[in-house]
Amino acid sequence: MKNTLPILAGLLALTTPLAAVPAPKPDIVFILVDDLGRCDPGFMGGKDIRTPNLDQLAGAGARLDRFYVQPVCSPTRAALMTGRYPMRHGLQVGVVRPWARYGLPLEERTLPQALREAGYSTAIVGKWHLGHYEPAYLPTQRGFDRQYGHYNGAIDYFTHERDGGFDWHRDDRACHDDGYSTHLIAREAVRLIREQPRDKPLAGVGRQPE
Amino acid sequence: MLGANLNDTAEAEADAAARSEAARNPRRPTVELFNLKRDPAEQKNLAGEQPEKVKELRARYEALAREAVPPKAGPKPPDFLSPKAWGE
Repeated sequence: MKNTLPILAGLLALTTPLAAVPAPKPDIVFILVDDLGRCDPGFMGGKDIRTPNLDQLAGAGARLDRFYVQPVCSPTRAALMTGRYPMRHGLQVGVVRPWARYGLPLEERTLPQALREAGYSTAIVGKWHLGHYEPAYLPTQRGFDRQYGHYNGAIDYFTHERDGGFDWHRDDRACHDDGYSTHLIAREAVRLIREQPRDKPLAGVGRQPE
Repeated sequence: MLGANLNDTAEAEADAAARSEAARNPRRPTVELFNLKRDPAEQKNLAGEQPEKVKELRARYEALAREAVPPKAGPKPPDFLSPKAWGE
């Protein structure tokens, strides 16, 4: 009797892959919030800012309270996009400034590239901040099927300018939608989710400007 | 797990980051070593008792720092002009 269990387990291991259907691909919505204090949202004890929807998500899901990010924007995004520490790609110091002649190195394989290979449609809504020096650095060249929002940090919420240059784009072409940037970003994110075909998984990164 | 903030007096001479930290916090001990498992609030500085551990962690820190790609960030070129639209 003692020896039968391992054999049974072995048989199961052999037959399971044959009978298995492909694992379902859940839709993925990743909200990256800039300049959010650890204790700002209600579910972390914050009282000054009302965050009922985030609180509801946190209440129904997992809270990772030892999940650390880099202290500023571009290094955090570089790490998220590549799964590698920013000191591996030279993005460990500060943010990608408007005049930077670099971005996330082009030889890096990105998360949306991998998700696209896995059958996902991919979209980024909000801030990119990983370089715009050449077209090759822009989001639609780095794995995103769709892009909406801005490349630099600290754009004007209404004119969508940074240092005198226009910085509002759809699919990496200048886009002259009028409005408060945060509202435009939210509207686009909702639209993408609503219009996504049911049979195609969506992976989106929503990023509110600071 | 052991954590260390290693700005030994001698090393601080050679280490600009440690020098500025020492200037900001003159009353802070120059070397700090904590057992984060037993002492997560970092109350008991073990650096004096465990110089070998300080040396070991310092070497590990420096080895990791040597793996870093040089940062790409740089100052704004004086002749830089914003484009009409970014990314074009």
